[in-house]
Amino acid sequence: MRGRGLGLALLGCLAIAAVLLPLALWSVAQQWFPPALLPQSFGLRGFREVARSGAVSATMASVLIASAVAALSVVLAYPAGRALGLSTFRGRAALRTWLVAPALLPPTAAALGLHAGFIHLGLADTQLGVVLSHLVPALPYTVSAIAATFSGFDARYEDVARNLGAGRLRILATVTLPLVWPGLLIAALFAFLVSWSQVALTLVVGGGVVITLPVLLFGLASGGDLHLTAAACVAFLAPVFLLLPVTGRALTGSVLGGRG
Amino acid sequence: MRPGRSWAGWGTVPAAFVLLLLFGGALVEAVSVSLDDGLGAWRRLLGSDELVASLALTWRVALTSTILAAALGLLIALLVRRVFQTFGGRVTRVLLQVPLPMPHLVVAIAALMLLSQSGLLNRLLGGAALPPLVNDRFGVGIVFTYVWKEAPFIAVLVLSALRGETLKLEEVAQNLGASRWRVLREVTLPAALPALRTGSTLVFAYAFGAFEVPRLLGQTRPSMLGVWSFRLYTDVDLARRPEGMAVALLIFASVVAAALALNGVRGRVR
Repeated sequence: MRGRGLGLALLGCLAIAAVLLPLALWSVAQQWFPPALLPQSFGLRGFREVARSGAVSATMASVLIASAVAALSVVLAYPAGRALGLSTFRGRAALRTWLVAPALLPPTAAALGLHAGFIHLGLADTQLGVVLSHLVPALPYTVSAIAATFSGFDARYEDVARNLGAGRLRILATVTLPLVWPGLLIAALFAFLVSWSQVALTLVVGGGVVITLPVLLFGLASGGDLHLTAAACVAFLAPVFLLLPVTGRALTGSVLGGRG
Repeated sequence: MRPGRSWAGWGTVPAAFVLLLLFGGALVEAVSVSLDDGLGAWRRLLGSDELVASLALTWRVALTSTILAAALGLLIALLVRRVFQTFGGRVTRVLLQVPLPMPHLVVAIAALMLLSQSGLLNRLLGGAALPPLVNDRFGVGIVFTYVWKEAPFIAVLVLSALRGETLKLEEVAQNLGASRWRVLREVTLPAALPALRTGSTLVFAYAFGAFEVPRLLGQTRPSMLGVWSFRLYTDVDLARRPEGMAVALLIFASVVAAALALNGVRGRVR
């Protein structure tokens, strides 16, 4: 039993190393000509050059866009998640499906139509347009995360505060938010990550004008300089791994629950 | 659930409305652009050999990825359950979480570094003559990327579906003298099925319409539908835009059809 568990874990390590190791090696390789198995020399050329090739401004754009998406989706999803998690009402199932179904939609299916529509509104090729387009894949995750939070929330705490004479804002600030903020934070992280990893929507709706980190990375990868590409990958992955402890557990709990 | 109040669903309206605007707007716009020159774009599209080739490739790659990811994910979940509480089992469960938030783009780039002609695998095998694994006819690299990323996802879904109630039912069946195989077939697999279906639907939908993975790892022509629609839409010849839109609508229709087929209308609305 013990041995088999270790064997399984070893296989898992191998599978993960198969993908992470080439990235790590290329990011710090100075020279690595085939057929050598390991780089001939190491250095930080990739990182230096990628910083010079616009990675800094792309990172800022990514952080800005993903934060805006996170904030907007939590604000929009809060009342929706609350309603879905806390109460039953006519049309609940249909509304829930409507709010969660866009998670199924491949970005390419919506991107072109969004871009064409945004041209009329002056939103095409702008950061605001990109933020709005990211709401389509981000909202389903945010709504289901917040709905899961509220399904474990006891609304009687609010009733008590109300009976004691607290106003709506006071109840929100001193009763509700202190109880549900971990769920809201997870929802915001989800939205941030969904936006952070978006390539097709940004490329199409941003029209090549809005350069986020993944768009830059995509260009580098098509260009074929593996040193630069790997260095940009490492920068791109940093927040993903920082958020890893939260995302794994929350993903299984809320998204599946949200999909019913 | 509180009595004496009007419809409790008002909270869903803002989010539902925003999605309706963005998503409905995109759909209406896509249909209208695809009809820019009447049915011309659709006629050109439906008469082209490239459509047949691209559709065949897209279905093949998406289906292969889904089936492999589902099978491997289920297998991993069943194996992990056997060693759940051991040290190795706990480590494996942590490892399963790693691919979940990894962007597809990064995995695709890593697949390129691993599988290309001068990639790590080739170096590891001492330059043995492997068949091309990226930019190939079969989309080996694309399938590898999806399976690497989605099999753990499915395993995690199945594992969380098989907790609690199922464990007890399995014990009962065992106590009643059912063989291991019979417990697996009649208790475990039926309990895992809904999670397997949800996961497969998501994997198929993503793989079917994806852009960056097949753009980096696939051959140029025919390309998968997502890449093709993008190429048509951004063609210097603006007259090809309607065709790009039509391809995007085809992706949308196929994904909706596949989701309904996999889950049934009843399952979706529940």
